[in-house]
Amino acid sequence: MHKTPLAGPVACLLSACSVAAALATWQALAASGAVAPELLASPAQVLSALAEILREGYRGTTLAHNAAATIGRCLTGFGLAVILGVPLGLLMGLQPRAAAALGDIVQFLRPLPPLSYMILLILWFGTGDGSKVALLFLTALPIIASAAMAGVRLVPRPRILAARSLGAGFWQVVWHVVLPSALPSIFTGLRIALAAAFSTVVAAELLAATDGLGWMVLSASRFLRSDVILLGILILGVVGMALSRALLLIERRVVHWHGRA
Amino acid sequence: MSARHYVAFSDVSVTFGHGEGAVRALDRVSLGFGRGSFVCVVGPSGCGKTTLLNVLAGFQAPSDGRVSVAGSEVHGTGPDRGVVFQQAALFPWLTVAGNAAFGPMVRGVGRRARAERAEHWLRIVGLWEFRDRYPYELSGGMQQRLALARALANDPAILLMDEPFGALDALTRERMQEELQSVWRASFMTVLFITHGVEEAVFLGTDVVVMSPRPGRIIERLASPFAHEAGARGSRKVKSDPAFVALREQVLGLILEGPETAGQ
Ligand SMILES: Nc1ncnc2c1ncn2[C@@H]1O[C@H](COP(=O)(O)OP(=O)(O)O)[C@@H](O)[C@H]1O
Ligand SMILES: [Mg+2]
Repeated sequence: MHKTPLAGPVACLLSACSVAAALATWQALAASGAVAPELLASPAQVLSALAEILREGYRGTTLAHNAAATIGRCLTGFGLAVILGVPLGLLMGLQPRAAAALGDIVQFLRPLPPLSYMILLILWFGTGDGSKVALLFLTALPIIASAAMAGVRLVPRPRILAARSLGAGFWQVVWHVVLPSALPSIFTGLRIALAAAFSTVVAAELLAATDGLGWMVLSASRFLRSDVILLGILILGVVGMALSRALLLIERRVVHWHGRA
Repeated sequence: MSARHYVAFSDVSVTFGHGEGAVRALDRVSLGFGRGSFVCVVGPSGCGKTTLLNVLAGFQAPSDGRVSVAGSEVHGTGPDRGVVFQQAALFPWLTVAGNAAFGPMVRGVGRRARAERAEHWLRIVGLWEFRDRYPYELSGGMQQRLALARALANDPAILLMDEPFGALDALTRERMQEELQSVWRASFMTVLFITHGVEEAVFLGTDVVVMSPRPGRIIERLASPFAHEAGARGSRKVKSDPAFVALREQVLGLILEGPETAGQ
């Protein structure tokens, strides 16, 4: 049975309870000595690692710098994919010839694990930001393009006929009817693409980088700093959640009619 | 049908598909009517009513024959022919006012002028106070009134309506019929109105066209005097008038039994 999600104080309380339970389990596990301390830092140690890094930075980089590097790469690659992917998907949805020409390439790229071609991108673009932005672009592009194409195909035909009979020409129909009609589907694609881009950027930083949250985690592992590793993971989770929340807020504002019309 | 008529379907056929599975949705249909007529088309579902409307709207090219308006052949859609669909097909991202102004907007009418045009029609259909709402905040009847206002804001010479009140409850439908009729009486509009409601057709139409399926054909065309009388006499009075009941039964007989047996 479908039920409306909880909101308000009850939801907050329930969520706080399970977070507290997870923290308690973690603390108990660390204190029990079942896992070697250098492999599992306690919550308190992670907290002090956070204080230390905020105060002194981590190996010559600040936390803010690393977070900004990761988010910046993610959003640059994602943003480029939006700019190109949405028009591409619209074109494929509107023009069967475009879909025939490009469909297989998009469907080939879509399930391809991005890290499998990461190495090529590094060879081509170097180990700097260029290869990572290209990687994220290629990760997000097919997801966004497919979603936009699906959105176009779902536009109710009477809506298009209504616009045409009101005097709208082809491009007016595309701009005033097809694009807004496809927005709910496009936003679904954007959410999936952003999550994919974020997990890929971290993986890419684990492979080759000189800064970023992923790099911080990898570097910490070389020095067996499980407190920093865990801290990095927690920050990554929070950042990822914040990114998708922000996108969801934008989506609710833009496609306010979705699910109600 | 000759081009003397304002709207003329001449030997129009529409076939969907090929070979064995082909469907003859319209079979050499000829129909003409003058400016200001209110033509209601009735018939069982699948008899080609929507196809007939789509051909005049320019959504569907005839496989054979031609359709003309004021002597010139119809090719594609045009703002001279406004359409109201069964499902309102509104633009959910636009406000009520935005929907009503859509036609003038895409046709390049200035901001002020199109706002005035939208206001005029929204007031007439009683939606002006809802102008800043969104379609999903309206009831089914209000949505359909908005679809009507949106079509009328373009000043169409011909209004095409495909079972526009089919999804409404009886009370709302009756009110909408009266509103539509008074709008039509106050204008020079020509209306092609598709319905499966026989009473609705006889009440609203100056002409009632009866179609039959497989292949889609016009089997009868009757003149109905009630469209002009309803305003003066009130719709309940008209609908219980023996002459109205007799015409309604005649049309119903045509639909159920075909032209041979009806009216005997
Ligand atoms: N796009 C289409 N493709 C194939 N068959 C169609 C199409 N549109 C309508 N038809 C067929 O044509 C016939 C007439 O349809 P329609 O005009 O919608 O009838 P009505 O509106 O009277 O119910 C039906 O048999 C229907 O199945
Ligand atoms: Mg129909």
